[in-house]
Amino acid sequence: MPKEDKNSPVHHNAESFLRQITPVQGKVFAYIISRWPNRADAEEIMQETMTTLWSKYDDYEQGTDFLAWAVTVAKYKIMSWRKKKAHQALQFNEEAMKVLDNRSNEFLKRYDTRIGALKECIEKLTKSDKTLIELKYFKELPVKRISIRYGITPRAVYKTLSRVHSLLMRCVRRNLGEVAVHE
Amino acid sequence: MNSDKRLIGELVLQALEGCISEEDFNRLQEMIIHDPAAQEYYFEFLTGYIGLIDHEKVDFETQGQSDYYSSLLNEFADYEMTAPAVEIELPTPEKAPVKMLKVEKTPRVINKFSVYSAVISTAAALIFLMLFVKIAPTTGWSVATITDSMNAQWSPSEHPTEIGDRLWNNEGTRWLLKGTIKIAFDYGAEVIIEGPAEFELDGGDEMVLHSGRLYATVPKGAAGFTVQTPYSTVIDLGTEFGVEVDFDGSTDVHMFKGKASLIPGAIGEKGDGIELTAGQAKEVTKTSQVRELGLQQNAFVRRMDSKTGFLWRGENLNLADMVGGGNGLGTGRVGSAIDPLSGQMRPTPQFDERDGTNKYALVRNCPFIDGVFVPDGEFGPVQVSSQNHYFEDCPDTGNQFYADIVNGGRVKDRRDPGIKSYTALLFNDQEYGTSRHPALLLHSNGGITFDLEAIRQLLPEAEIVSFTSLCGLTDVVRPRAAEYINRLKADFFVLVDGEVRFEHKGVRQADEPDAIKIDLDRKDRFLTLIVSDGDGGYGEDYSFFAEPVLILK
Repeated sequence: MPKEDKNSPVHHNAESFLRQITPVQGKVFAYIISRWPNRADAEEIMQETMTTLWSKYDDYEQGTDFLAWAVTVAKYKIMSWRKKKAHQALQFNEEAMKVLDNRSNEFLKRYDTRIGALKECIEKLTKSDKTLIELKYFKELPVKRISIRYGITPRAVYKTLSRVHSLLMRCVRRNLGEVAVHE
Repeated sequence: MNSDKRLIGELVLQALEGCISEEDFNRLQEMIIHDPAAQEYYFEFLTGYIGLIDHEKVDFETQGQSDYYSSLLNEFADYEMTAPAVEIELPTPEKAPVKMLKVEKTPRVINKFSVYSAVISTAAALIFLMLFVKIAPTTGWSVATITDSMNAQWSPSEHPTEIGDRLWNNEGTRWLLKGTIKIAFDYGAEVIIEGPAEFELDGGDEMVLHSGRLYATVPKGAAGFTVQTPYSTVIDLGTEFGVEVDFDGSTDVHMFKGKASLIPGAIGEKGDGIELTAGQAKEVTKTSQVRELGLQQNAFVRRMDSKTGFLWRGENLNLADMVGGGNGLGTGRVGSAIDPLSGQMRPTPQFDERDGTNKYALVRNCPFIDGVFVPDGEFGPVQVSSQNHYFEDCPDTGNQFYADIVNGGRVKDRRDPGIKSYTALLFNDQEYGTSRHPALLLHSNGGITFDLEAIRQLLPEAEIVSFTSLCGLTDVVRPRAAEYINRLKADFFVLVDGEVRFEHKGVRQADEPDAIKIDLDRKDRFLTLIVSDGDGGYGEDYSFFAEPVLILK
């Protein structure tokens, strides 16, 4: 295998790309999954987006908003995915997509601070809630498996997970001093 | 809004998992379109979700969580009361022994998002990602600990694996060439694997057995533990089971406790599960055909303790073997003995006229035997345990004895040196005192006390429910003794904590052996066996307890 040349243009380009993509990749994924709320599909779209971002990186005008460029690429990938899966998968209608587009900027703006506050909030969960979160997201046990383990229905697992998510979100808002007008 | 939020969360989670119905998806969509608060919560929820699936950003405790399952179960139980839909059928005991169970194999979820993070952390890796591959390698974590190991020999290509080592779920296939190991999964399942075996850990509560034999003990909190074999999958539903995989991939599953779902078919295939309940055993052939088998009670090592050399396959515990220095499972030496005067264990028994000392002698070299003694009630109650239990009505004997207490029955009698025969213990033409048919030779006058509490330490989960044995005088006596054979008599006693639970006085050589069965419970500590001379003399009292065993449940 040829030794990597750190002075090569490809290497410099890659380093530059990394500096740009690393801080925003979470937001790009958040954008994708908010419009296509199926994790497995969203990951595929993310991968396609990353591949295109890299292959088109030479076209990116340095100094402009990289996140905006990445989100635009992601938007086209989603559109293409919508066409491809038009008859195979559930997807939001145009009206819902418009609503989501309108709230998108606000969502992405708050993304980093909310993720930062999340860690602290997980620590505040009761141990049983933390155990469930661990089963689901760290051990990555499917809901069905968790339900078999406890001898209960998947629906009950979803309900509990939803409650724990709700607690986490409330904690995040409180920590960030956000007003929860809809509670 | 709180209840709506819970509903939104529930629906979003189902959508993310790819299992939302069209009706529920439309419901979610309507809420998002028309309710600004729902829109905000939708975005909030996704932020939290992404933060959680990208778990490098958050810390989880990875061990010691099992204590908290109970409170989760309580909450689940509350939801069960109102849950409108049941998506999987769980087995119900009232139904037929074999029924179809819908348990689908779920494809492994790979956190590709965190994979992106890892991969793009270096330029070289990024180039690799972009130019060559579209793959998602699995990430691993430690999921189990080797908690015991006996004579384990691993394939030379393996890293040495010892007690206390952590095992990861991405380490690939391991070859245990010989010996036995015990693995404790963090989620509670415990597995004993007997070599030769080829296995790998897969996920936090799942393993693959390519060949070999394992026994899984899965507490309720860890139900769902899964064993995959080349042509079947066993999903535990809170139970104990043994799995044996032949080198051609065919699989035998034996259910000892509880129930499990057996899914015939190769790894990754979906299929209907067959419920297995305690006492059942099935074979899955390499063509995925299922056949009935008889349960093999003693086929799997179910408990082990390398400190005591204990490997338990479900057998009852043999007390004669303990007299031979064993652990009750045949590890003792047939023919070895204990001196009733000193409590010393010795490799060959001594046969000689000796006087008792009226003292209870502790047996220090065997944890399962409390002590031995020569019973004689002439001067009052006789001590029968180290905790001062006494045999109140012990008969007055001559306080003499002739033989050590022996694990076995083929003993040479020095008084007939010209006869090259041995004194065998026979009942109805069946020889006892062999490794196959163990016996405890307790020539009068002699007594021995077993410490049931120490024996329970071997198998904390098992319960000693009874003591069973045959007892009597052997059918065979030396030719010289034939003259007075009709005069030979011996008294047999079995005591529990000093209380007589069985007695048969005046047993003669011609009598049929007694079948003893004494029920025991957890509070019973000391089991004492005594033989005293019933005729005023110990001569020729070759008395014994044949197959003296503790029955376990």
